[in-house]
Amino acid sequence: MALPKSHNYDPKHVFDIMVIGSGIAGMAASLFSVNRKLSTVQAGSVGGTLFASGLFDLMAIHPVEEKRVWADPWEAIAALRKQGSLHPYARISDDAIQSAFEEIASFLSSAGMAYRFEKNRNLPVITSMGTIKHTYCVPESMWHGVEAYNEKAPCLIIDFNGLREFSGRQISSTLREEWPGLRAVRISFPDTEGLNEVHPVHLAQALELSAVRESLAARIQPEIREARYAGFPAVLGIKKTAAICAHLEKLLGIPVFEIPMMPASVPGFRLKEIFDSVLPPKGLLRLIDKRVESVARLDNGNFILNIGGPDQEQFIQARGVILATGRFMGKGLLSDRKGIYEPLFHLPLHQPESRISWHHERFLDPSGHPINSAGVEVDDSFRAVDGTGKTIYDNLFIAGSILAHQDWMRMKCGSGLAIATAYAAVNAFINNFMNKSDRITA
Amino acid sequence: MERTLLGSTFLFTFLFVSLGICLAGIIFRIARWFAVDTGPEAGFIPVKKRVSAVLKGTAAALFSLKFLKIFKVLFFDLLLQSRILKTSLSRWIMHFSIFFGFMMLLLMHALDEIITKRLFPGYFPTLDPFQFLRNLFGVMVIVGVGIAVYRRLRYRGPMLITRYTDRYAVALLAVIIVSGFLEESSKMISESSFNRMMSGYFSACEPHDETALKAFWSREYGSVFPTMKFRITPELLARGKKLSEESCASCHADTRTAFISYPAAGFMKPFALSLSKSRAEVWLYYIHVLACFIGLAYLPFSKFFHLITDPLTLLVNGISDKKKVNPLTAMPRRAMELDACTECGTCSRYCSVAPVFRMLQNTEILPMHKLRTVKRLASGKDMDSAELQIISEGAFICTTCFKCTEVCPAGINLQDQWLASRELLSETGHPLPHVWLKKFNASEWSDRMRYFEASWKEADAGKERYYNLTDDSNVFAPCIQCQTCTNVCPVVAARTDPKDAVDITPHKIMNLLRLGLHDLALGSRMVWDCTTCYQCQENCPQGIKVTDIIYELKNRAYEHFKKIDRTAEINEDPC
Repeated sequence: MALPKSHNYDPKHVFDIMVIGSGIAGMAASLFSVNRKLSTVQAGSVGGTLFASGLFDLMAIHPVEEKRVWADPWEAIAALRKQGSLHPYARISDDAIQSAFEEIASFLSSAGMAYRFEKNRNLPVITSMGTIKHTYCVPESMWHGVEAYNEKAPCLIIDFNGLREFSGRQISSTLREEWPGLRAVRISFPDTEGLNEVHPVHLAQALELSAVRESLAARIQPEIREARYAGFPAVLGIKKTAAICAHLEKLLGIPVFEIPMMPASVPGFRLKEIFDSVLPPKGLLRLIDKRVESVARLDNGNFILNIGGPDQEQFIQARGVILATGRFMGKGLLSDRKGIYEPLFHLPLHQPESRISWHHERFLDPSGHPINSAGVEVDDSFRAVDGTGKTIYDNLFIAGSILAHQDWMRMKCGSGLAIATAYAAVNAFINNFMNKSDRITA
Repeated sequence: MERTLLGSTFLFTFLFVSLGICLAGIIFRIARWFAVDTGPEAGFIPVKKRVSAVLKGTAAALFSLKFLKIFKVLFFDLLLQSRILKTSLSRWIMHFSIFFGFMMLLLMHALDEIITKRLFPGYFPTLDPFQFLRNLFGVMVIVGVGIAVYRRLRYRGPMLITRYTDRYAVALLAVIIVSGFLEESSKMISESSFNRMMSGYFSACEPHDETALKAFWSREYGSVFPTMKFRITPELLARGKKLSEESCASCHADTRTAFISYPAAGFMKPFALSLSKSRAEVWLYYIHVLACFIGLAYLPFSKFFHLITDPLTLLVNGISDKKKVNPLTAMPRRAMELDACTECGTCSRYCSVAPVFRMLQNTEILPMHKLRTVKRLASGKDMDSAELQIISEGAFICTTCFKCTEVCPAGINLQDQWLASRELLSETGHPLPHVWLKKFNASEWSDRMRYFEASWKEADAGKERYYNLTDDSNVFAPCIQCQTCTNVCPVVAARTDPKDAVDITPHKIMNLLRLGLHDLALGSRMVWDCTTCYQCQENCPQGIKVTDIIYELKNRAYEHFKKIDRTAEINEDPC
């Protein structure tokens, strides 16, 4: 669905939907919209997906105060619903969540970043800290790590001189008791001898060259010995990760896997690369590094969005908006002395009474902090509602972490929440709004 | 001719002394070309070698096909002065008027005994066309000088500087030409000159012939006879005309063709008696001739020396390859070029980086000023570090775009002058900014700044430009140290040698700013190696203007560090 270029910034040109935000939720909403042949425009900062680890969580911990880890994410969600939680998952069916994951995974897979998941099971993934994280959907490049952990097979963790925030020794010593076959080795990455600092993206770029891979494999080869798996920090290429893994496996003779690193990490770059390069050809008008400065609503209900940014301001008219601006980090929510607020639509928020009750006394309180569940409240169609439960705008839909009644970091449901609510919002837009004949269309 | 006032011996002595000074001066200045050290080869090539190389080069040029090129240069660049015409019509009119007028006066009038008389056997200065042409050439010089004076009064500023040498040159020309005109006029109205001529070349046949001749001359040729009273009748004039044709016409044309001196004589008529009595025409003659002699003696030390250096420079550079510099002949050529510059300012007006001068107000950016500095450097003047720093800034802002060399009317190879003087500056410890800025690492610079800034005056600190980004904490405060900027930085990625490694990566610079450690950020190599590719800024998830900040730091660092003595030892305990 190619858009006429001259109409891009004509405020009289009416887009079906405007997605505000460029994190996982914004990207997923854009993907679902273009997949459903809606004319879509998206604005947001450049690096929304950079902080993604590459793992897609669905739901792992509930309730947070008990830190109960669920082997089956669906059971966790069912428990949520049973307890009458206001968590956004309570408004979406399991089938819808499952379809959303499948649509995203198939898109990423077709773009060269394959994912693996098991229907009713959370997967254990080793982190760079040596802890085990339970997630639903892992990139193919990390899959052998799950296998190795399950088998507790002899495994070599490789790290590099000068690479900060990743230590094979820390991983092996943390996991020693439950996984004695884990062994760490530190080597110099080819052509970085003597440097006291190396950076993951640079290593990933270097590994795109086969000569570097061969040189690296030659350095690892003598260290393999009894190991049956080789674990690397997540630096195995940016655009050709599958091919690089296959080549390294051939060179080393054993399966290799990646271990996710601290954000911003290479898998985040991979996601950004894919969304940036694959979505626009599918018909998305992506306004890179453009923020929506203000919004006005026309008599016919359409939104006029004032797009700011480095250039002069421009206007976009859209029949519906999906707000996926995130919480504080994404600047979807801001705070002042009186409380938190949503700066664009000035939506009423679910939030603690006053600043004093934002946080508990203890920083590491097991139940989390009330401020971490603040956000926009929605109806079953993911439209923002006010305190009385009344829909504010019939064409404003909310997705992602800006939603209230969830603590995604502690519940390990961030990506699932982003993907599922984006899916629900786009479908709600089509079912409850687009298909209504009384609305004026372009 | 009896001009016994000072005597011809005096004049001849004066002439020969002037000629002697002139020749000695020229020889002295040319000899200096071989002794002055310029450029990177300085000191390595003995004078003997320079002389022989120049002689060899000259001989090689004369006996080759380049010979034809010489004619081209002679005709277009020297005779027609096409290089001036290329850049400005008014300046060409000015220069060509002075040049052509003065040269023709020199050849036709001053050297008439040697040249004109031999070419035209019937030559007399008072005959046409010589009388007319003399006035015409004089007017050309006056018009040219007038334009020159007007230009220098009208335009003041760094593009055209009027020095004493310019004033002397213009004044001397004016004195020579004006005194020439006045002498001619005063002679026209002088009774004593008329009487002297009459007694020498006229014998009266009839008693009234003398009166008739005088009547005719006073009516027609502007002569004045204040002591005589006679009534002019047509008969008397007719007789006078006949007598004049018989006795005077072979040497005297109608004085009206001296179209400047004749009207000037008209103005002088009321004072004719006193002028004649005081023998003004003789005094003016002395002023005219002595001014010429003084000009001759002054030539090698004045702006007029370009009469010799510029044709030579045009010829040498016209036939040699400007891009292939022969190190043996380079030094004498450069020294000659330094003498050839007349500070006409053409180079400065065409300079590609002249707009930078408007920002920095460093005149060493402008080629005209720069060449003068090169001359001072070549003459071995002692300059302190601060002065050399200013010179170095100007020298390295130049992009060596070749424009000045293209437009220089004297044909100076300015490009080569810049390259040579840059090497000299680099040798004295004032190379390109990014070279000397790497002399110390970030913390050494920071120490140095603390050490030296304490001694700076308040006024110096106030001069610093206002900075938008690094002074405003809101700009870098959102940084969450995610290292994306460092991760995407090709400069960080490209380093392989730990010695040249980037010491402080972009995200660390942001952190130093957040910590208020601006001084440490300034001396970082990252700041100096940044290629401003904008990868960091484009990828920053927090929308921080990383590249713009680094670029601003670069400017701040340069502004600060250029004031700091790089050679001084500092003995400060870092703790």
